[in-house]
Amino acid sequence: MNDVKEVLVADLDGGASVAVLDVESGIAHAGAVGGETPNGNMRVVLGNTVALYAEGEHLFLQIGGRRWDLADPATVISYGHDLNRKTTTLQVGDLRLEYPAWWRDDPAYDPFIPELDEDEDYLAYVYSVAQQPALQENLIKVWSAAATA
Amino acid sequence: MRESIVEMHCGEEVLLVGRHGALSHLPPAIRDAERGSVSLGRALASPENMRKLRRYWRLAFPSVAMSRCSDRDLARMAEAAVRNRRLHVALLRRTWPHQPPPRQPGRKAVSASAASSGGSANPLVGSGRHTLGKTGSVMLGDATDLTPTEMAAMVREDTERPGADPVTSWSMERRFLAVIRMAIEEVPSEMRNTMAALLSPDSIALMIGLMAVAAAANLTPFGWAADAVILGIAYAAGGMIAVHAAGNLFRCFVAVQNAQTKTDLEHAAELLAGAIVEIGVIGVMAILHRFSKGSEGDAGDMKAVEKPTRRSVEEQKVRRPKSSSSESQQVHKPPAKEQAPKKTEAASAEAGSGKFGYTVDKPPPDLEKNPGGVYGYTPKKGSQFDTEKGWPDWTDPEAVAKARATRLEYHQGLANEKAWVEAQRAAGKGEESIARELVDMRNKSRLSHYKPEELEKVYAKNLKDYGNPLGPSYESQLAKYGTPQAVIEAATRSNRTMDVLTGVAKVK
Repeated sequence: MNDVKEVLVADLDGGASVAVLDVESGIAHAGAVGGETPNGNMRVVLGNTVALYAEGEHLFLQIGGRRWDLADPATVISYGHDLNRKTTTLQVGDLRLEYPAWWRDDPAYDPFIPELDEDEDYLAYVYSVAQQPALQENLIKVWSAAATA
Repeated sequence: MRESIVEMHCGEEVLLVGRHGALSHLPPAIRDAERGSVSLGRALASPENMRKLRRYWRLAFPSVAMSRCSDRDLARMAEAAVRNRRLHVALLRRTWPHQPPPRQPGRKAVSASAASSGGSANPLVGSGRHTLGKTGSVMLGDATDLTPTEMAAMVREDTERPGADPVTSWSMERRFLAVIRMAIEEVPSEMRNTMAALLSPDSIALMIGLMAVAAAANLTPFGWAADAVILGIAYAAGGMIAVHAAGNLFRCFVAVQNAQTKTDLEHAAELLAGAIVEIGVIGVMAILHRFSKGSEGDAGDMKAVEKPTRRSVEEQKVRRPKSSSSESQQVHKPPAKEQAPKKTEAASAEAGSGKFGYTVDKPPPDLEKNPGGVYGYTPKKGSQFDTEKGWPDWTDPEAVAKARATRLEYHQGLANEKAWVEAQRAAGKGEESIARELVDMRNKSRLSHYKPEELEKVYAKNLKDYGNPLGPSYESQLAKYGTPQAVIEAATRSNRTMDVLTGVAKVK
């Protein structure tokens, strides 16, 4: 399945520089030459590289060394905040990540505007993409057009 | 708005300094970007302007340690920022020449043909092609060459000469011209330079367009702010001072519309001058454009401003819920079992209706049909908005009403953004340019929700997360969504699950 060993991803941590993601290990490193078009994007969450990228006609979510095809019906993703505990949970299949909510120290947070999650929490963005087939298609189109590393 | 643009006075010229996009809402006719860049150094020779820039810099670039910056350093940084296009500078053109044209003996008012004296740097002062009104109104090209006293004299002539036609027969354009000319006399001399902006045909058309909004607004002496829609737009334009100014502005519009005598026009002029003194001509222009954008919304957002119903007033009074655990507990109330079904039935029936209502073909996958739900649905167990995670009891009408109030407010913002996007597209602006500005607008809107003392922390977090103290950059959004169009869509999207739970959306 992993024909492609490396993909270029925009590293969203602190900007949008391009990094090289080793698909098998899930480790990303800088070193891409500027000006190259990435196949997706990534952030480091809880010490894991989390990436979303296109490979052929498929969009993959990668967390550490594991990855899921978003088009696969077996890929079930859930995301949500626990307002009492001020934590957020993302679950993909049997993998569950629970972490401090982005808004826990934010005095202006309003839970009834969940649209803000997408801007503030990369995993909310991942969840949002997983819920929107039209956006997935668009991303596959744009990211597949870029050459793989 | 006051935070995003610095207004510097330099002789008779006014210099505006703001971040990328901050000056874009000003009509091109009143900008002179080329000369503005050149004039920055001269303007910064004034200690007052330097103080303004210092205050602005603290907000716009919080990562810079200002205490260690001399005035000279700051001036250099500002000039470098202009060169790097991080800052934009515009110079407002003067309203009348340094040397007013010599008075002609016996000249009281100037006719359209008599005063094409030329020599004005003002692009609005032209050949008389801006003729307005159908009932003998004068041309702008002549009027803007005059001093304030001469302009006021012109109005007196228009209204007091024997046989003058009554104000009631005047066109709205003519009334506004008269009011603006009278207002010029009422404002401090240093603010008069920029008043030409209000005399432009575009500005007058904007004011006339907003008269209907003003008439529909809830303008009681103390209840002006009761209209949450108008309050929200004005507040976003410049904080509480803009709310007061917008109040004066809208009362001015009503007074113009109802004017029967010269005294009525004078009253309108006082109100206009009051708004200008409070927030400057630029502030007034910004408010006009903001409301105008609002009035172009698909649902006729501003034109259709409704008198608040008891329900909507109650919703407006609801404070936005905070994130604290204790407050989350407050909204988590046991359902009012006996009353809920009746209220739920009524609420369900009105789901998806109203100004922002819409219909979805099928329920979002994380909801399940539940007759007990205020709007007929509740979250599936363990899903995103499950009550067990501290979210409201979706069967409790009171708790859901609070959420709904927030959602309606949010949708008002979305409608404004969508209307703005469409207006930009209609004006031929490119998708990338629109997307960039939209990202910037959302960041500003977001920051406006924080108290000044909270901003430093927010800036630091943003800088760490996005490499930009103001929030996500356009580049990072593009990296997430792929195309400028998708960036725009993401910025104007709403959460369907939350909308169904709060009755904004209805399932078919």
